[in-house]
Amino acid sequence: MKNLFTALLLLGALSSIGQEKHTLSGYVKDASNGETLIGATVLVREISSGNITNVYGFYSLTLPPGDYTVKYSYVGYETIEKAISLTSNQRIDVEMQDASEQLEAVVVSARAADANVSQVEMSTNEMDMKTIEKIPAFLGEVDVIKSLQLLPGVATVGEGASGFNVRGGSVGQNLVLLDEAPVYNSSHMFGFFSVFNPDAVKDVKLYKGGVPAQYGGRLASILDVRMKEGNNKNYEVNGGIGTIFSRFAVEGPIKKNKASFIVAGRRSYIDVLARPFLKANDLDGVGLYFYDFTAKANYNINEKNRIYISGYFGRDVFAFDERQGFGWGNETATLRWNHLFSDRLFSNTTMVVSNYDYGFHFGQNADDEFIWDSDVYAYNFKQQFSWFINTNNEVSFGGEALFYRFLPAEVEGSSAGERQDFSLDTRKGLETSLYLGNEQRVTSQLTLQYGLRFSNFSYLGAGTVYHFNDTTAGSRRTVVSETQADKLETIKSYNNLEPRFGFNYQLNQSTSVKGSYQRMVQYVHLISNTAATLPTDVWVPSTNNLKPQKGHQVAFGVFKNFFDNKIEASIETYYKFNHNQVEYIDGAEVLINPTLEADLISGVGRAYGLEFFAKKAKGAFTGWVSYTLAKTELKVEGVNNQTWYPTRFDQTHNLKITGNYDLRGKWSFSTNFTYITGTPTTLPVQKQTWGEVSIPVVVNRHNSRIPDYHRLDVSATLQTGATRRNGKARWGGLMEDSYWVFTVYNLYGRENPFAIYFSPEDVRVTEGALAGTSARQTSILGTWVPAVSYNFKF
Amino acid sequence: MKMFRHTFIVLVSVVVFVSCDKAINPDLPEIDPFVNINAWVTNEMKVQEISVEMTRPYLDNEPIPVVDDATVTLTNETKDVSMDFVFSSEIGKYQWDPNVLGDSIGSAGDQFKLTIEHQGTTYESSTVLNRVPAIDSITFEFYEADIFSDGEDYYWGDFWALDPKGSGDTYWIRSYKNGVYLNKPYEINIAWDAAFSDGAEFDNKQFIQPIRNLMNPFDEEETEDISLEPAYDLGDTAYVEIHSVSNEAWFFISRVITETNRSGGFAALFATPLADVPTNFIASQSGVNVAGFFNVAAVSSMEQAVDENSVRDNIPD
Repeated sequence: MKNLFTALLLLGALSSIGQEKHTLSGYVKDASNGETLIGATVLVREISSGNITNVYGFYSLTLPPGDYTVKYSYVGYETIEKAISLTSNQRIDVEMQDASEQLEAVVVSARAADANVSQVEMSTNEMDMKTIEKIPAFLGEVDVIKSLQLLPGVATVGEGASGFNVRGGSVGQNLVLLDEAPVYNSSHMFGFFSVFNPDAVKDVKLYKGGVPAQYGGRLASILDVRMKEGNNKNYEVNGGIGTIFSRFAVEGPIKKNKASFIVAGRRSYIDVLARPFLKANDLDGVGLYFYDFTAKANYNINEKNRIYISGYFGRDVFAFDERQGFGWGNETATLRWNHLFSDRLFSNTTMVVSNYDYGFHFGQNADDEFIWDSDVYAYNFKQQFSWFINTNNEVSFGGEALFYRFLPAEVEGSSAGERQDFSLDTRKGLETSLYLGNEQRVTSQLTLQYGLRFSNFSYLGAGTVYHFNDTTAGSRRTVVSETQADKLETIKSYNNLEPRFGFNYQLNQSTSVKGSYQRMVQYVHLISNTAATLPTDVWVPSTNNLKPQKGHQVAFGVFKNFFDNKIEASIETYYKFNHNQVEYIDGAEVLINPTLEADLISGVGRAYGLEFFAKKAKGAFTGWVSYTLAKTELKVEGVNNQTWYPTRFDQTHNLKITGNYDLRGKWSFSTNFTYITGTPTTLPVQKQTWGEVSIPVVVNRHNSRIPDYHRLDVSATLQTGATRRNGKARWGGLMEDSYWVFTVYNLYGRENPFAIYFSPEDVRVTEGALAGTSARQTSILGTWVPAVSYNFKF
Repeated sequence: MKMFRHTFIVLVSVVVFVSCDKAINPDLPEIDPFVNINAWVTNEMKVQEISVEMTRPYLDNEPIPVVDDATVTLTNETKDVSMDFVFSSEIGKYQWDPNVLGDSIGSAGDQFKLTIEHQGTTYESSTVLNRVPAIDSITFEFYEADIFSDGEDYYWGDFWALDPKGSGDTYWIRSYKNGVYLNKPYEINIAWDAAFSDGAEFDNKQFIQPIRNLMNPFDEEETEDISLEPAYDLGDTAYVEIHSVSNEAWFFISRVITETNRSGGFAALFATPLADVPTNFIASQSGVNVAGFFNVAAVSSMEQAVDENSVRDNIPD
């Protein structure tokens, strides 16, 4: 594998030698606000080849001297053609005009109209904010993650569950990056909203497979969220007043065309509205709210250097009274430096600090209380290079070092004035990686993407190292010995090679077949054995007792566009096989447990499926159909007699239909429909009694399913303060983009089941008697939910 | 200590807005019934009981099928004394009276074995009798009427006991109000040393909140959604027992709480998957299922009325 890789790379490099060449490079930006455009196409007519701008909007093309016609295009923008006489290296920065007013409305702006067919990438979903804004969302709020869940291969176990599941993976198997900073919990209010403020987001890309070598660290997916840089031409204010929360964002130039900033905040206010009620009832300490704050600034030092600084701070609070409650939040800070070593060698250096914490506080006074805090800190240094060798080869290489500090439980309790600290040891880990990859256009029909990632994880001291015995599979292991590790001593180290490969064979202008293979390794694990992934789940490192998760995935797909790219369609199939999947013994204690690994068991997992996607991207009516047929299973020693059983998030059928009709005037209407097979659940096969209580007897995990889930949402958008009939803006252009959004979530009010549960009747029976038992079905949202929001921009 | 009330109410009010819950009657998979043994005996000088019954389909609310033809023998291995439990058709359980022997089952540190023979299969289990701390006092604190008490003033009780030095003591606390045993799944009260669990070492201290407060009854008013009956009133009587249990029995009860204290709505998000509770019985034949637990407890207890002696202000305003 390695030899093949080297040979291919050499071939690519050699093909550029032997003839004088010059480089055309630069940035592609939005003319209205100076935001760089990610994935804009730069096509050289004469050679029918080109380049796509990278995540920082940069492109580079190396060509023999000559006269060329270069076409810059990006869906939703007016195409620019430039005649260029290339006699030396040239830097051309291009600003493109937004064409959405003139052209047909665009719902899903893939980068180029035929990008899904022409690009080598597969198993990826990209969405820009224009698309996301049109999807009716819960309580009228635009939401990045809820929108992604309308795409094939992306699912959730139900309302209120944090995070998302990709191709049968668990929530903890997704790497969520906000401006390259890892976000350990992507949800507000459990799972009803995601932490990304739509006013500050520029671009969202989800890799479900075919992950390039530059990414790693999680098994199922990479969600790469890029924040806006901020308008560097004019000041701009965006905001919205919604049913649950309000948003406000300001952006503008610090120095025109050189430096800009954006700050954006949100806060929910159900507690503010409820305050009079709570106060009247002596409950004024009760709080139930979240807020977040996102900020970014960038400075274009010169043609070769640009720096970015961005940060996020968000918090959810559930307070029971003045002293008691629970909360969680993420904080991230990212510093980046883009540097051009030459017109062909682009470098990005990133430094990230990120933290996730949650905490509880119980107790009415300092003499009797219980304070609990849990943290994950990550410090990340990343160096990435893109080397634009020629129009046929784009090499990327670099490395990353990620230092983790896990504080699983900082706990202090006091009883009748006596205090006790029962915190657990801090755990440390260092994850390092090096990668090398190339995207190579072999012929005009065949493009390859291949790469190799080497990763290492070291579980570091100081702390107590536990050694467990082997016991009956499925029961708690016991400690046979303990040793003490010194500060930063390597307790256990793991090395892995992660090959990545992808191809695109383009049969004709509108049809291509693609395939990919990836090996991914995950060194940190989200420990969650509840029905939904929760903010209180803990992240733990791989240790001497907990091996890294490893996964293989192959995917194959056919991509075809119809009617001049008006309709895009694809069918993809995938097969995944994973090792060292984390499962739990019955009654596993996952909180404040120094010997947590004694309650964990590991097994293998497999997932396979078929994803169908068809989208109409142009015209007054736009929308898509997404259907996934899938299976995801585990096989674990000590569970279900070591036979395959479905995971909690196994959904056989997952159908989503989204439609948007634009009346070309003030109104537009959207709808979406979701149908999902009920998720697996465990039903009791008998009951036993203990005193007055009946206890379910269980033999196998996930031996049944809850009823199916389906839901219809509708929304209507009313543009106000738009232009007058004579074409002039009202109020001097102020509020020209303001609009109302009316939504109804779960229009026909289906009581979609979240879970079935079994319990004794809630009665106190006489001693020795037995309470009756019953089964109940619970719905998190058992009704239709209307909402209205007002959004403005000036 | 109103924490549980507050927690509960806040969750309930969230749930009231959006979630809904309904009774269903699903078809459950079934397996053959098997023997379930409840052997929770104490070293008190009163008649001891062990029940042997069969399991049943979960939603079948007919009376429990009792096994009346088993041989039940308890042995104090330390003192080398065997005790034969005899079936009483009156109460449907096996009984043994220490007053016949004139001595209790045993004392702290004694090792016990229980042997039950039924239809050719022997079910065996062993345990040890652990120590128990005395209850020093039971006190009550006065609370003025609030939204939770439906306009009535109430008293809230604490029992005070000091966990002895040395970690790993485990307890099951049983509480009664006016002679009524508090036995709803969320009223089951256990402690590992003075706190919640193994990992959180909290040794040789007074039992922490909310363990001290779980002696209070938790009754929703029938009429109001978010109101609770006052926990205690002047003149009411509280009775609390601490039973010493083995670490394994503590884990069993903790698993029972998890598997039975389930509710719908938002709480469903926090639910762990349904799973079997453990047993410390071993069947002589492989492939034969058995459920239930064996524990021998030492017991301390105290009774206290709500009166001027027991009411005090723990949290001066």
